[in-house]
Amino acid sequence: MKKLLAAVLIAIFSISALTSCGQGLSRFSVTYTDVFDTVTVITAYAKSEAVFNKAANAAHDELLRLHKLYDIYNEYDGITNLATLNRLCGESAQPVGKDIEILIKSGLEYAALTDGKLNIAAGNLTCLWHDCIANGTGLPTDEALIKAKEHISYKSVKLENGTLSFDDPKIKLDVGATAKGYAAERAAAVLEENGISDYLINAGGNVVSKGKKPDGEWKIGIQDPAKQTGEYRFIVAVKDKSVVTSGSYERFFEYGGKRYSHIIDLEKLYPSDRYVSVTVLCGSSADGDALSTALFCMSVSDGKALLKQKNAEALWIYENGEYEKTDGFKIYE
Amino acid sequence: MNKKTIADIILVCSVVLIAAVMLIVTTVNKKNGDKFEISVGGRVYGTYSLSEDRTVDVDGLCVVRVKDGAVYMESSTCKGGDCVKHKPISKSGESIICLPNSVVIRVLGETDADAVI
Repeated sequence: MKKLLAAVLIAIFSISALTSCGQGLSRFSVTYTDVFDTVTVITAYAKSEAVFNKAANAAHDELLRLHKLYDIYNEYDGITNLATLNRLCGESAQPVGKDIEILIKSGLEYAALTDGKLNIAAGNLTCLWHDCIANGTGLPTDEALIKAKEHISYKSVKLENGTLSFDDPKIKLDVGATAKGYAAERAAAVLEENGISDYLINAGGNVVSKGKKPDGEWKIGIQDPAKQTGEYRFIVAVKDKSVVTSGSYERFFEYGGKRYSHIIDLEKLYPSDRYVSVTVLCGSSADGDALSTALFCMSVSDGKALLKQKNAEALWIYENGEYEKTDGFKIYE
Repeated sequence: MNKKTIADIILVCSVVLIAAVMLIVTTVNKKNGDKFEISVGGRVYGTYSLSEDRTVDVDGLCVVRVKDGAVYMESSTCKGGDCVKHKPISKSGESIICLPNSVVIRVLGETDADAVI
């Protein structure tokens, strides 16, 4: 009798193992290289390729729209984007749309919360460095950096009743630290509107996860900074969460044998070299994006205090390979 | 010994079934991919085997070479050339991406991580 019971149990287990592999959903994936100057991968489970393609195309359209809206270098016909607003808001107040309003509002909140360590009004300073990274030219001069620092006060950015103005006419907004995170969330909403409920969006290190895979939770590898792209050091398992990594290896330039990252410490006026990467786990990709950049430029203890306010967890990896993490940051393997 | 019970039959069937499931799982989870995909501007350009040495000229944008079970970017018209400096890839999920030309080479197959950031 015992043997029969054991056999039946094993049979049930085997059958469930087999059937769990197929619930009529197949896995699809697509890679885009034309939004936010980075690589975006959408992976999802869908009933058919047609269903997936329709949803992914709609999400891609949304990403393209936001890419143009948050561009601070180029203006486009027919839309008022951040480049346009940077040009006009010093002279007169300008009406802004919902997507710009949300991003600036959140940017100003983070600027106040971090005492300007994360500052959307720092465009004058960050662009000096980003131009160096893009062109591979030498470092900006101290004179240019000090001059740029005079016009980065977020307190001179006024957003009232959907209208934006700058008290300091020389202010330039730079939403590079938060735009991708917000855009990834918007793309996620579009996937859901199109009937997709189990998906993973990775917009250049900003991951939004929803639902699960037939065999369990989504697994996100945290890049091993010492190795080449794609080789992970840790894995975290997530469900309905965002994981965002800011890494000095993402975008950088080398000069005089030293590597300079794209994340600028606004107090030192130089790229931050405190960590090689900071990964944030939280409920929203927009928050994760802002937090990972902010944490990059502060001590671990200051970072932990900030994380507590936002109910988020983090993992810091140092240049020498050592790491620290918050208690709630669970490593899967 | 010829008096097989129902339990014996179910047991044997179950073992065979488990073995089959394990075989499927291990086959799918193997680390070294055997195929890779090239895509341009988000569209699949072609899928190729990693086990045959060959070169693929991708619309004059770049030349992809397969050698000894690994694939790499041999040359590219892009300005930075980071894609050409990338080491050859062979494991499932690994990719070489040329952002300026919008070319992605990716080894197909299941991976432990659904994304690496």
